[in-house]
Amino acid sequence: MNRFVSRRLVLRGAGVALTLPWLESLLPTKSAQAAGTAPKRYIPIFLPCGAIHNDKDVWTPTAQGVGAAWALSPILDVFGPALKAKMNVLSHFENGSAFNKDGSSSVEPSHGRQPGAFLTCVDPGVIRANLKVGEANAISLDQVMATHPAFKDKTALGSLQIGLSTVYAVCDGQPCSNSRSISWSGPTTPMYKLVDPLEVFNKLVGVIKPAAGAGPAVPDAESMKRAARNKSIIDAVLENASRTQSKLGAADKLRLQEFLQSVRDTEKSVTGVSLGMGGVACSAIAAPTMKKVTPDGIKQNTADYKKADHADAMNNLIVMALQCDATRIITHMLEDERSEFTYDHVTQRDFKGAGMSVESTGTCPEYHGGGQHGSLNSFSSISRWNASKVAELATKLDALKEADGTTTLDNTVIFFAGAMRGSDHSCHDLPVALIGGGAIGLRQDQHVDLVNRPLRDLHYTMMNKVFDMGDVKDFGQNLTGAPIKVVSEIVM
Amino acid sequence: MWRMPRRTKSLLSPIGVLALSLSSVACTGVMDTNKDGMGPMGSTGGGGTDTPIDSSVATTQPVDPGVVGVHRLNTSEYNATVQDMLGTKLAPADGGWRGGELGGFDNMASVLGVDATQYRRYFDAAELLMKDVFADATLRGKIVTCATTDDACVKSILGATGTRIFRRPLTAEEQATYAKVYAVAKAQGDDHNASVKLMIQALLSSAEFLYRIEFDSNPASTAKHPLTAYELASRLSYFLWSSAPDDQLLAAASNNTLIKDDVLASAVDYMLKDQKSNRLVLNFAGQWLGARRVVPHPTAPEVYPNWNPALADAAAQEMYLYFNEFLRSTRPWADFMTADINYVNADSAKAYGMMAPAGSGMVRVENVADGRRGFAGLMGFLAMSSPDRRSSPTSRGKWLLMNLMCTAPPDPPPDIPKLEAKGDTTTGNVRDVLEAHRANPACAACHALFDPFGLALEQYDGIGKFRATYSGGSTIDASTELTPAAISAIGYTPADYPNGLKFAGIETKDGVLGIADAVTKNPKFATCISQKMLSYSLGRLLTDTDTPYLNVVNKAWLADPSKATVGNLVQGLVSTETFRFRRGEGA
Repeated sequence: MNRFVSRRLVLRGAGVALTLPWLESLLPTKSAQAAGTAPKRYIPIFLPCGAIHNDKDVWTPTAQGVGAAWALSPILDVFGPALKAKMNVLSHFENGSAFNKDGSSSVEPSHGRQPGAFLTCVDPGVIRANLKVGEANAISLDQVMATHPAFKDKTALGSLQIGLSTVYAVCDGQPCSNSRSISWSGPTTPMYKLVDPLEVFNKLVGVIKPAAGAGPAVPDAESMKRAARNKSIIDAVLENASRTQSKLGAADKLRLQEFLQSVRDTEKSVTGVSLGMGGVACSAIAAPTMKKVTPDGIKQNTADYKKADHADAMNNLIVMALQCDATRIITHMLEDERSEFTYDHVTQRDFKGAGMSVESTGTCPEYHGGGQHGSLNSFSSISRWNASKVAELATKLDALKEADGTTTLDNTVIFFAGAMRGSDHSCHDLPVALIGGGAIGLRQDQHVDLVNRPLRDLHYTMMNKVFDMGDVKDFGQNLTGAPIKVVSEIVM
Repeated sequence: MWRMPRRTKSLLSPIGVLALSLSSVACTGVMDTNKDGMGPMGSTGGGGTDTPIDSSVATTQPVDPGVVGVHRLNTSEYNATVQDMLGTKLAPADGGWRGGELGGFDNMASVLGVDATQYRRYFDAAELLMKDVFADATLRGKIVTCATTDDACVKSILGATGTRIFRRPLTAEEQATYAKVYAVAKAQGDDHNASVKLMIQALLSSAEFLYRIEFDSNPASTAKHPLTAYELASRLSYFLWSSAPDDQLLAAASNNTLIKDDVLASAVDYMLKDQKSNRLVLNFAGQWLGARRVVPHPTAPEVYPNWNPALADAAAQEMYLYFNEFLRSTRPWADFMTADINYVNADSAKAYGMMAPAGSGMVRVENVADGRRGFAGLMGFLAMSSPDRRSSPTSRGKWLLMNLMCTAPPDPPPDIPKLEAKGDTTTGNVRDVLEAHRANPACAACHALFDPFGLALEQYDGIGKFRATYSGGSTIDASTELTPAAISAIGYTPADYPNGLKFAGIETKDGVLGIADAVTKNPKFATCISQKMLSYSLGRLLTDTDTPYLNVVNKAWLADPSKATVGNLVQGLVSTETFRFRRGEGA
């Protein structure tokens, strides 16, 4: 029997875990390596609705500079001194130039459009019009990276898309993929993220190699047969769909192309008889136990659903995925843009003065009717809670030692950012922070004001200067005509 | 010609059956909730205009049926299809499956793509379904209709079950492709049943099942041509049943009679009488009218302690049943905003302040003394269109304008002042706050278009309960008016209202119009449903070239006001070329 399925069924059924010690004892069993040999990882984390309120900016650090010259802001103080030392807070990146010829800040409907360009720096509407289809975008940064030789075939999963969305976002009349998917693998293929921790877990344990001695050395006869049967299905499906595709018009051909690609990508996992395609031998953490989560119906915390538990489970899975080297690229959405989830678990802080009030907070984008993005206090409390989950993840990654003595965080860039400024819906002055990356070329412990630098320059810098993709010469669009440039302020 | 195998209780009492099936669906958690993605502010409607595909095509004459792309089954369609077609009770698709919405609906072809994660779900579901079906002798017997292991048997199975799954007969090439799967299974040592099972599993994993695909003999030509009878059967069944054609529809496609006007019309009658058409209520009205949003609607318990899941469920069911009555009765659509009917159970009757009905089900009541009527008086609508802790005239008004009058106001300006900053919200008097907000001319221009519809509903709080005063004690004034400028901006005939249009509350009284009548008088109200329904039935946004077809449908449908029923609208839409024809997208 196929090991992936049997293991998954057992886990789903009994809720048992492949329980093994946590953290350092889980380290891949590798021999010591020279410095600089740890895998490089990239983790974009999407912050919904921006973070900067018009009443008072409590996201941006007040002073620029390096080390003691700057201090964490009231929202970012959750990172604490240890992570501050490994951070770049980068203010005044803009993405308006992906949409507007004059580079101006207004992109309406903002929630429905701006997130579409978060990792593409292209107006999805332009691609839709060019292709004459209803849903399209450019290939996103993470997918450009995942398919580049620097990453391709290095891990069992090229990339992973996850998120904490439990209720469908309001899309403002735009294709909903703009506000719910930041990863695009093809021009018409937004990658839907997994929100159920157990589904993510199963996906990961399906590809990691069992630790030495834990699995059968030779596939049994039954799993060989099963592979042959599945192969015959895949073959028939591909043969027929290719024939059908040849009879269709251009837009429909594109749809079938996407289908054929999805079938081919599935083929490996349903016809492979060996486990651990490329993964480092490593042991799994305990299977998540929270009740199954779907992206379509939980609007507030309940007895069965706690947003904080959800966030923690996903953080643990990110750590496991990196530790087992199942993938090196993970996009994570803390929430969809303009979700209506009520953050009633977040205690509201008073960002105007001292002290804390105990009011629960509302939805993140209490748009317009309730005051844009709610009040300063409710909006900023939600952003700060989101930041705290990123900080917890970074702390875990910083506790993992690589064979060369650096930490996993030092070899990972967490791109923690929003697609809009905040309550004014501007596409300028985006909240952007990079955490980690000290061992792979990023300067550390600084706050830099980039004075309206296009966001695509940052994405370009990641590829060109950090992730060994020097052959990539362009990314996204800048309608003002300004050439693409490395953000030299952040690289060593 | 149509046998009515399900002509049991559903014909005599479609409403009872709907209530039954709705509640069972709700209890098992199969029903998709909140797929429309529309917040209290609504979204652009299904009638939103996409970029015209070919602007050179004349837009005044009904000449261009438009382009409908290949259409992947969405979550509810997938579950309904496998249940109807295979007899399984499994519903493998859940809210975690890939889906997208556009124009307020989740069945829009252009946002129903697939990726490897989703394909794996289909692949696994096909195996699961076959396991379930082959474990049941009766269900298995419907597929394995012959026991010999020769080509003839395999072909016969592909001919019958294959046609159901692909919704059309397989070509000879296709039969050969899938017969190979049977052969591989045999070679692996599987017996006849297990080999058939694997072959059917392959069909269920195929693009030709997972997508509805229509063909043009020449995709590079934009000349219109009629759909094949099989393609027409699929369009019909996914429109009215959210599912595959049944054997009777496939028979009418097989002998090519379905494309005849009279056969098509009787097919629609037959389909609407089948309880599978409850899915039109759940999926079309559920999304368009917001009923799906009611159960997951967030409310602040400290403000509305009486709102609970049971009450929310009753409020949602009422919205479905209210639309259902218009779908299945001779009541004209023009009554939608004014009909004085409610569907209540013990929970919702109490919330409405009515006598609780006996029993536990939903009961239809006509209560003329409760100060509310029509769709805008339904608790579910009033809650769904509000934020979590108060009513919002702006949200409600904008929702009504966009969804029932098919008019989208302009986007808000980039720098909108905050509501709280402009007035005192502690008294709960949203009207005062809003008046202050509207003192800003930049805001007023837009708010004048929709706020009045919401202000007239201020006597109903954020969960639809009647109130005479705000929490701070101030008396609620439900009188309001559309200015002459607003009148012309949102589709009324200006000459009819030179001094604007005044109204107050829901009901007309003392010579003052109620909002129910004010909305009904909007000329776009009657045609908005045809726009939404056409978009849903085709699974695409409408374009300029659809307008002439809609004009023809509306003219015929509205000619005799007493016959302008939803059922007749369905017949009208199905009869048009835009539903029965297609064209290639061009070179």
